[in-house]
Amino acid sequence: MTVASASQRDELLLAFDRLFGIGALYPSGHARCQDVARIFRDQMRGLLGAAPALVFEAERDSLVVQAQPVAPEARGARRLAGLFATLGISRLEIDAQADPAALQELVRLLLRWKHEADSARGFRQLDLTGLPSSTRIVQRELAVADEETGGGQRDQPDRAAVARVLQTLRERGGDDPASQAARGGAADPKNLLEQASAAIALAGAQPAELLLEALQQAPAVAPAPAAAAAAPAAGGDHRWAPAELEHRLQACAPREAAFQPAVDGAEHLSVLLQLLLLEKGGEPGAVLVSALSEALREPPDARGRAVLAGALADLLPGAEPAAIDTLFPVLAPPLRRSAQLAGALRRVCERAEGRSARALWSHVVNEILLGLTGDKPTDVQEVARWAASREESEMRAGLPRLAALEALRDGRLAPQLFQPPSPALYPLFAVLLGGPRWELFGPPLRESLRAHPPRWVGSPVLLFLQDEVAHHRGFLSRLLHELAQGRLSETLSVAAGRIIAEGLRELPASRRRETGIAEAVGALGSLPAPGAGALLKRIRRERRWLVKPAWPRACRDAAARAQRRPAAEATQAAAPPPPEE
Amino acid sequence: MAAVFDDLVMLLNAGISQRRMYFGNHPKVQACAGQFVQDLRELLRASGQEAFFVGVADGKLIHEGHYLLGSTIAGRKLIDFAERLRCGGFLFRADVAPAEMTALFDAAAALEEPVASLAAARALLAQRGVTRVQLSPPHTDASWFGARRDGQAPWGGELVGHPGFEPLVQAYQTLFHLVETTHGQARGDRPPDADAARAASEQMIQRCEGGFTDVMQLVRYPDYDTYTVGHSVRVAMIAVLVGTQLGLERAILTELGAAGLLHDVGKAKVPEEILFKTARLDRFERSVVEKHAEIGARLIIEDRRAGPYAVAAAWGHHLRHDGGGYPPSAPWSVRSQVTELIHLCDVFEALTAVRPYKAAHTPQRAYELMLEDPGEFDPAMLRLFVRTLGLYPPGSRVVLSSGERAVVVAPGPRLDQPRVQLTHARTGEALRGDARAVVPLGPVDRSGLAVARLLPDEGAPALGRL
Repeated sequence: MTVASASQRDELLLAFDRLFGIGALYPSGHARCQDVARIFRDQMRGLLGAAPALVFEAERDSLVVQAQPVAPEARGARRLAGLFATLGISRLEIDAQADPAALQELVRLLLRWKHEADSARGFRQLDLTGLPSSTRIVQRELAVADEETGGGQRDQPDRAAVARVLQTLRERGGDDPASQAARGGAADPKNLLEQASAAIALAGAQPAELLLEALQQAPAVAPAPAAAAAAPAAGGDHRWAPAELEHRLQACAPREAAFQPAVDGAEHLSVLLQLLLLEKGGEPGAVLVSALSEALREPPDARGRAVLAGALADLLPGAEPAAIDTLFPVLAPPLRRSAQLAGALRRVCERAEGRSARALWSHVVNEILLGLTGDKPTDVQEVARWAASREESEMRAGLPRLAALEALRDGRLAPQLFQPPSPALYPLFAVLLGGPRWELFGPPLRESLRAHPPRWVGSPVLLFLQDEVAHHRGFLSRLLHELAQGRLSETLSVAAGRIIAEGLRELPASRRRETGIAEAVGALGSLPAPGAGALLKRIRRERRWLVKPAWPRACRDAAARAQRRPAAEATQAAAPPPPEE
Repeated sequence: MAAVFDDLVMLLNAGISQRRMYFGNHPKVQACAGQFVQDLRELLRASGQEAFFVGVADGKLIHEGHYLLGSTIAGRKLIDFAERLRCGGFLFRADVAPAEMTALFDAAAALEEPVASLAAARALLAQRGVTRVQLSPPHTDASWFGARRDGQAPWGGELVGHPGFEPLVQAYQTLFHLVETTHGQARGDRPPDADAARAASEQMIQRCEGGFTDVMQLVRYPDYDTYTVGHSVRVAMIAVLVGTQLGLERAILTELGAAGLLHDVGKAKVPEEILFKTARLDRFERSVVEKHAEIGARLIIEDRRAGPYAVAAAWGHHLRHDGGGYPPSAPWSVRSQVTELIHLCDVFEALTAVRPYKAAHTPQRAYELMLEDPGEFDPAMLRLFVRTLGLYPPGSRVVLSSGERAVVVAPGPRLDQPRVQLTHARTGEALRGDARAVVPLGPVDRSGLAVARLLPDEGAPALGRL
């Protein structure tokens, strides 16, 4: 094909496409249809020259016109290729002599078939028959590839096709040999085929056309039987008029919702936590815990924190220790430094008992040490009271677990714990001082107590406590313990007196004027320390170079008063103050 | 012949479908296998043939060498199976046994990826003891010619134009297949594939870009046997339709659709004698059914890719606005409007669909029933939902006061005044071209035209047999 004819072909395709476009909009015979059909016919004749027919061929998505492939992007090609693919058409022939009416009828039929194909809801084959005589269609004939094992399946199409040929011959051929052959009938496909071949050979001038016509006579496949009727009553089953429905809607909701199209983190948390709640009493599922951790990767908003706090209070009391160890470290951290944690923990503590209370203790203490917060101070106090009021043995048993949690493991203690320490926490500190991380608690507690000493005659002992001396560490722990109980023992007083006496004996001259030293000297008068009398005497009388007193006047005076103190006064002075709130 | 062909292909698809959901020895699977063998033998006896052939090519079923058009959802599983087997069809011999058919269904349910070759496919079937179902080679086109013959590459473009019914059906098939597969996986304690659900949802949204009119016509049809699957697809479609009307972003619509598809996956674990029981459930049975929300949420969570929408929908689609419903709600729990929307869609779909124990209600009656239970829904959300769908949701076919027939394309200014597209003249003649005008009913209408009545759903018979 020359360049000029290629261009003609493209124009022809466009004209053909327009024929379909107009045909879809106007009824066949409409003036617009006639116009475009005439244009197409003229262009077709111009292209064909002496050729008897215009031939479109298609293989799947490719289109060929007059044996020349058409670029897929060519205008007009796509609709036609799509049509062919849908209908399974492999070849369309339009005689050069086809008139506009025949062309319109062809387009009408193709569009109808396309619509039927698109809207078919059951299995069906399209019956592409009834075309104008000047047009012909060949449908794609699909057969399985030659192969021994697939042989059986080819019988059916062959048999059907040949049978149709014979039927056509019978209808059109009268008593000629073809009809004789057709009437012969045969169940054997091979026999049928031989008879058909013979019939076609004898059929006259247009065997191919005859064959095509016969092949197009495939019986239409009836649609599948309808399923049970399922429709609502056609007249409607409603009881209210639309206006009443609308009125009732407005009455129940003055306004429509302003739709918030998001499932927020709070709802996701809410679902995950409720699923966990359903697992309460057992080991929480790893998948769920993992999903929960994932969901809490981003800090929850206020709504999420409220969900979390509620869940914490519901999930943990009564939970198995293993479950507590799994869930507490997931649920509590996002609430730290929020207003909700103390309240939630208070509810947890109030309801916890037995094994779960013991398992919870370490986690609750961890939160206290990290700096428990809450919108109500009483919540914090109640949680502290709960944690510090457990049996000492129980607390000691919980120390290893506590040591593995952040506060002790990472040495992250909230500074406010010691500014000053709450007396309610003294029993807890007493246990912690006996635990694996003495260094975290000893020095700050000692310093804090020095700054805010309890009202006790033995308080000056705090001046002499040394971290490196083992019995000093034990003394601090015991002191906190007894302060919490509100009753300082004789043993503790003796120990305090001893430490003070030791401290004074070893106190270098340069430190004797420090604050509190005179009070320490005075305390010896009240504390039953062995050798205290001799020490007090020495403080009063000791001289340097026989002239200058070795101790400051305040110390000497305190020693003199201590030596004069009656026993009853000493006993009274040793009574501890009530623990401070 | 055609009806028998239909029946046999339906049974094949039903067998594959049931096998995806149940074990091979389940009565439903066995029933499909047995019925197929019985029908096959009757057909072959009547026709004098020795075998029955179903061909597959180009994503279509082939009968007598030609495409079977409109094979729709019913044929999809068989087509997919053939494509994975790289074969051109199945030849069923008269002496095939029900056990072989069951084994064939097993293979169809198990085969997720295409085999390497036809030979491998045949070996696979032989391994499973399927010897009297033969796989044919792929089809060739007797009228093969064109660019490829010339040594050029065939056209690699894409057919475009009016989507027509078939692409919508394909989208529906994808959704249906997704839900069916996830339910089957759930029976085996395997989590649903969250990304696959998103992909199916995305495809649905894409197909609905031109409007919901066509796709919503697929929304309701009778499918008793698998109504939980169809229900999920329809809930997803309604949710996406409402979401679209509300102007939600594409990404949210995708999540919403996926949530709708997966919301009932927990029902896969409810014994079917309870699930399909038509009589009133006793307390124990109710408790079993009610577990499906929790089970569904758990299953979905197992896929780490699952988003919060799907989890929330599975968990919360039976929760009432007044705090009732199931699963029991903790006092601190919260629920979003998205979950409320899925709840609304779920109830609306259940009311307007056929169930083994009830007929379908019209949308209007459904709204009435929803309003009659004041604690069930957030009133403001219910009002929004009703206004968005209208009394005649898109896709509804109606008769107008003029006697013309029309299909609803969009809600209108009032509940009973949708925008409709005329489809049939008063005489019953189908309208074409410009005559298929879109008419906004209501005050702005030309002559007080109104909806006279809702036409019953035609349904899609082929779909009902899945």
